[in-house]
Amino acid sequence: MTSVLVVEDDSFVRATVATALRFHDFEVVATVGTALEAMEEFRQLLPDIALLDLDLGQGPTGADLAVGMRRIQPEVGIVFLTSFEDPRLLDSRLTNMPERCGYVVKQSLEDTEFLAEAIRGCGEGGAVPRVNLTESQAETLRLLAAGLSNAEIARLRVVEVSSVEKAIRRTAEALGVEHDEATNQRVALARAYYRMAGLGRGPA
Amino acid sequence: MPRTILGLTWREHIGGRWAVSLLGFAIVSPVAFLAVFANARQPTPDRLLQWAAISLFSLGALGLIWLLAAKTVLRHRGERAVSIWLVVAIGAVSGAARSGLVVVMSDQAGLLDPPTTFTAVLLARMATGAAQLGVGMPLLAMALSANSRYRNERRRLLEQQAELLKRQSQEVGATRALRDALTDPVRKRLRDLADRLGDENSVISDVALDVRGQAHELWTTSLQPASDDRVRFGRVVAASLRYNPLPIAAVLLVWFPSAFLSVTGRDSVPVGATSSITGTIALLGVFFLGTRIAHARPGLGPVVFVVGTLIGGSLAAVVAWWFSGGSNLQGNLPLMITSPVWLASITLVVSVVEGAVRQSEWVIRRLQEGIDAREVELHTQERQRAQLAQEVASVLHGVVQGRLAVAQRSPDDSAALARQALDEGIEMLGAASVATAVAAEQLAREVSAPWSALMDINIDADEGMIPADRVRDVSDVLEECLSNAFRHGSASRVEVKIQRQDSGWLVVVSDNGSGLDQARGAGLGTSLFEAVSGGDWSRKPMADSGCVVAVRLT
Repeated sequence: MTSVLVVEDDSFVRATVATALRFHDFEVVATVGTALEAMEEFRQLLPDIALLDLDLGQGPTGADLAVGMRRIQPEVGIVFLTSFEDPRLLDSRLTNMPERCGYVVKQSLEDTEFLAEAIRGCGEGGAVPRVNLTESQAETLRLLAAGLSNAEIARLRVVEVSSVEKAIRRTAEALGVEHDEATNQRVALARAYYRMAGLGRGPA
Repeated sequence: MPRTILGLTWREHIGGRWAVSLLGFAIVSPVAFLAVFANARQPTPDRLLQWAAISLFSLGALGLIWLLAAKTVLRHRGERAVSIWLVVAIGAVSGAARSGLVVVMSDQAGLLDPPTTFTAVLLARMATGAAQLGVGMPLLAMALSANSRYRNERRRLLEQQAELLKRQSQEVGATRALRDALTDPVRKRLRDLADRLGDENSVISDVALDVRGQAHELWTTSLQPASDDRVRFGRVVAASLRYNPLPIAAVLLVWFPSAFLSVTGRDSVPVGATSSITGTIALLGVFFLGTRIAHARPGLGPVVFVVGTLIGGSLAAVVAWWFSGGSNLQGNLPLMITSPVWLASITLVVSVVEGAVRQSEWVIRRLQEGIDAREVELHTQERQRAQLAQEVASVLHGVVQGRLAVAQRSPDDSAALARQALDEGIEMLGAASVATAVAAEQLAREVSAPWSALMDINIDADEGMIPADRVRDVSDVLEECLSNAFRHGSASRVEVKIQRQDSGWLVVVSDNGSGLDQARGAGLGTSLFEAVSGGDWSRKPMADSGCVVAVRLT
């Protein structure tokens, strides 16, 4: 039986996923919620597959854990299970994901069978999804959604405020966020970010 | 000159509540009492006693006139200020009346010197008295009013500051309490809801509706504008003596005319003119010098005032005596004694008036800036509260409500799922984060903890708190350095140092990675380091292997 280590910081998802994997005849050797526990369990159990959440809060991302695990066990199979439609929405520097990895977006998961398939086929790897944004647009969008002002975004990115305004305009175009009287574009963009990051939609 | 001084116009100061007052009379009477002795020639105990009696009687008359004025024309001065000229007129009339009374009574008692004619002396003295109080009374009212305004505003302001400070310390010291205050009722409500969850699925939709209602309410309250209680008072510091202890105006406006009239009345116009002009010149010299000293050392202001008026008053009297013929020193002695007292009183009054006029705008601005800075901080905290409310709302909405919806659609174990959703919400609300100052070591540990899964991290942090507004920057820098060390340097060991410096903190992170890769990498955190340090940072490869990054945050 294929042994799987589940790393997911959301306890609800963690429990659900573990149940689903057991149902599909995987051996779930451990379920953990933090990077520290993940590496500890990994060193001890050396599972065949690691199912990693991409966003583990502050600190290393799932992608960093994958690199760390491959250093210990180069042949380990890696599958990312994440709510981010594009890893760059979590961290704009996540442009190069580790090779030979599966990438599953939670929102698109209609059936647990799909997840089982992804794990079985993770040796071949899969295409990492990309939204229609450049790195700098993704970063600007992330900071905007974090509630920062244009001036603060410009300060952090060390660019002119006008560049930030331009990046926001381009992002809105790319995401098809209309600029009209009825909606505040900034709020609409933040909502678009939350939707793509799988973080909910906010009040209707 | 500002249109208003400490928030009041000249007319409101002079013609208002302080136009005539018991305190004003208490200040004027000793000076006026002494002034009579300036005219007491050939002082013998008997004559001095007579002078004193006359002086006291005349003061009584002065007080009576003021009292009459206060009960009649100045009756409503507290509510509605009267004209400045009315105050001048009352001052002049009462001054003239008092001096006239002194002359008449002295004549009756045979205290006047034989050579002078009664009418001339009477007119000269009355003119002197009118001039002195005509100028003195409005000035005194102005000084008292400014002083009272100073004191009231200052007290009010200090109370306000204390109140602000209290609120502030409560909010800063109790951010956790703030969080708890906001989240506790919500958590309790969720617990109640969890208890209500039976096996009937119909309850779940009620619970979901309840959660949605709470989220909506929190969201709405967070959008309400922060309280807007502006403070617009000047910092009022009674520092006139520090500011200008010896105002030239006191010499020119009050001392000179009164000296001229007084000596002229006693002697003749040429003597009056010579002595008052030379005395004034001597006095101007002393005042000029004193002012220079006070400007160089403002702390010496009060000393300069005392010494300056003592020396100036005596010197002016001596010089006046010398230039008016230099005879009869004994006869002029009383004048030399009363002169400094008279000078000191008018100087003090003018100094306070001038200080009030000149300083008012400046002190008000200073205080407002102080208050505004605090207000900004308070405002920030109120925004923090709003942000927290939004955080809680989004947990309720995004997590709990979403999961309750899932639970409703899973008929088999919906109650269990719903309870789990509520538990999750309770747990998350307990962990909502709010920015506060953090000990450097604790911050370093918190940021490093997750990375220690992948690398050995050694922390060496100086004691001290990273201020709340810098916590984010320090943790961003650490996070950036650690992730770079792992991702780009493939490091396995990292050394984190946070050093306290005279102005701010120095963050140094060194690793044993491939070094060069990182040192070359222009994009790796460069913009962040640049932004938080204002350019004061460096990244160098180490001799053997690895890379060291130093970022200074002030």
